[in-house]
Amino acid sequence: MLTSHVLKRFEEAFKARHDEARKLKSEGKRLIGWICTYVPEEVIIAAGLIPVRVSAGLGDTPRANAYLPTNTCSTMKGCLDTALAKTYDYLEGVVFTNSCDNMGRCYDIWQLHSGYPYLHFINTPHSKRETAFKVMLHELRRFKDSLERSFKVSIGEDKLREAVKLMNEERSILSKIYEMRAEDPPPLTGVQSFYVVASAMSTPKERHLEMLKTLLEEPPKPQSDVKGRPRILVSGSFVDDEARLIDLIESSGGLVVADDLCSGSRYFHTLVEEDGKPLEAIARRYINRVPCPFVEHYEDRLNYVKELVKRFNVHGVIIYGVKFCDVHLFDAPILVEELRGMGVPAMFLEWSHTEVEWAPLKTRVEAFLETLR
Amino acid sequence: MSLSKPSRERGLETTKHFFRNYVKPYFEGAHKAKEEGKPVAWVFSTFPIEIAQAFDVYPVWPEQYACLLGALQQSVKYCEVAEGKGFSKDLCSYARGVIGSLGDPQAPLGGMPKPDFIFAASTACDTHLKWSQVLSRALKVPYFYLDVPYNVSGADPKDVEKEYVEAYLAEVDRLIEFLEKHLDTRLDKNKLNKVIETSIKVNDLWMDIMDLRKSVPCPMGAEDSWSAVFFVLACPGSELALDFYTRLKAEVEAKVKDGVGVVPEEKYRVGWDNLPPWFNLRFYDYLKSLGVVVVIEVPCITWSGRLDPSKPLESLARRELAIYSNSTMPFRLRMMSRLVEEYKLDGFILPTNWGCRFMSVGNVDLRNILYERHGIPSLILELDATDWRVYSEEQTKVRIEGFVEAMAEAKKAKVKK
Repeated sequence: MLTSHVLKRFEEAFKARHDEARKLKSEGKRLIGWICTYVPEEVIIAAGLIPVRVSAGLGDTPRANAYLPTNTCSTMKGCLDTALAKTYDYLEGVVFTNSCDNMGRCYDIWQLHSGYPYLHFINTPHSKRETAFKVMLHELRRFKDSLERSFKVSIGEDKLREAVKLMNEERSILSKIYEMRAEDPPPLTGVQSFYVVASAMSTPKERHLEMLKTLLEEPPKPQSDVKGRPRILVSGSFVDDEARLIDLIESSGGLVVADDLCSGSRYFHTLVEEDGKPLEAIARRYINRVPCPFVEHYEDRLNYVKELVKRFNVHGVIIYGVKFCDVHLFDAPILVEELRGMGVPAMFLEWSHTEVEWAPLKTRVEAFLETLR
Repeated sequence: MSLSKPSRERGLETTKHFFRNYVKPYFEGAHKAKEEGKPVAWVFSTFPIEIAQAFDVYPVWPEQYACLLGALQQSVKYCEVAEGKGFSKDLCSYARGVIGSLGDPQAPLGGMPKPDFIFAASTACDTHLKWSQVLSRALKVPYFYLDVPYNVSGADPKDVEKEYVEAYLAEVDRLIEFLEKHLDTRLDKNKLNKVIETSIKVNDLWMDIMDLRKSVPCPMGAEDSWSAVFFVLACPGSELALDFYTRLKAEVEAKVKDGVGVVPEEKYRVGWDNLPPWFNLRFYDYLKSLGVVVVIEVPCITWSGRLDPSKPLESLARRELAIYSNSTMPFRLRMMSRLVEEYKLDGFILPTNWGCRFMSVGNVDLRNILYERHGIPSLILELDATDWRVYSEEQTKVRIEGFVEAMAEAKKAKVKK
């Protein structure tokens, strides 16, 4: 019981994130939003600000629809809708990256309509060569200068080093917890794991670390009903922030034991080197991390998924592609082909935050799981 | 759905029988080059094609092949093939069409000859990268991706950040190394200079022609422009392009001199953002029947442009970085405002492109701001360049009628002022 209580704290922290953030703001803390995991939280933390991920909820986006055409990805529609609905009214600004056409073009719309006093765009490269490193370093300097100027703070190397250490410690513990899921049966379900990571993106780091350490001290035990279920890896971008897509699999008899999601392992994989100049080390981490498919080196992600499949003894892979997310939709058939080539059943499902037809989706997931038994 | 027969009519002599006279021989040339063992590359828009031309690489333009599939009304058939392979219906229809046509011996013009390389740049869209990867895997040939920053400040070419220009030039150096390695040769600098010299002339001629369209009445309509833009995009550093534009400019100049326009009575001058419905260029005939002339298309003037002969590569880098597909709204608005003024536009047509994010997001604000600034209406039109399944001819006609009424009202309001 104790274990599930500890795990429950992550879910509660994530669900109460807006109230908690407002409380922090009333205590004089300053919070900054970020849209994509290519935003280096280290720099925000070093500026004495609290980073919070802005994510799209489920459901229609009537406010965003006034500006965005139907054929925009629902992640961007949902994020813009939160700005127009003032869901994250405690943020002093939001940071974007050059991650895809959807995001790049939506930055224009945020500048015109979001109402945030501070918006910044980091020109993330789409490759990992030396030129890309130089661009990333230039962009980090530009970001640092921008925070210093706008928030009247000074970001010294010592502050950056501390922030790197903090983020690395969180990443390391998240990896350790994630690794536990390689066990059979795994001590955490996919839904529980989702909240452990999602809360990392919305809770002040020190507090989240303390929660993570408690979890390490009292390692969870497998739930009685998870043994013998098909072990599933989920691949995609950000799943919905109610974990319904993960729950759909688990309530249909599967068990999510690994993921290739930016709301999952792609968020914390790859540490920042702690020696040397911190900005350079941060730049290297962000261009060398397990990439989102907008990055040229798509084979790195395919290899990452294949390696996870082996290490976590995965029986089948479910790829969730957000409608109109070009980069993931182009990669999906390739990923399916590669996985089938190594004898791993894989299925691709297109979905959207704004109009999920849950019943047909569930039928397809159930049918897929049936083939794995 | 019903779809009108495609139009093959052009208004100008130089562009007449464009497919038969130019497109077909160009692709035949590519097949011949391949047979003779010369390198062939598939090169996507906004790539610095001149560098490849300096290595005697024969450039073939996949987007053009996609347009051609559209113009022949065969695109949907091939899109469906790609969809059958797992590619979403919401992806770029150019990409789906070309992917679906791979390996089909019945494909128009015998398909594109198998390339030695595939070239794409980040200055256009995500699709070019992902599409290149799919092609590269399917054809087992290397691709080169020129990765440079987004023009996030929306700067004009001359004001693009120096770090971004440096990154672009570093990528050009890497491209040269790539070609030297794969072709086992060295760059001939004299050859590069010659190609660039030709490209400067070609771009100047093309921009001169675009400038001539500012004349009232407009001497050259969209259906001619959409065909003629081919050479400046596909092979700007070639004698073929130089010859074509020299003749085209002379013809357009003569029209201006004689005061001959696209239609007998030019009632409304309209700008066109993004791509046309290739599967039915008769669309423009319908506009003309209402006295509406499309006098300028955004892709035709920003995917090419004048270069500075004193620093050609740097000016090429600046032009490509500040291309509208790679630039934020402030750049697009300045450019479109300039077009409204210089081309004396009465309205703008802002088509969305179903499979394209950068050509769709932002249209609502562009429409509103253009109205606030210039008092002209814009029409947001749901289109796709080659997938007519998302297009309704009849509904489009109704919407155009409404747009024409709005332009009439706006003109009246201006006269009153």
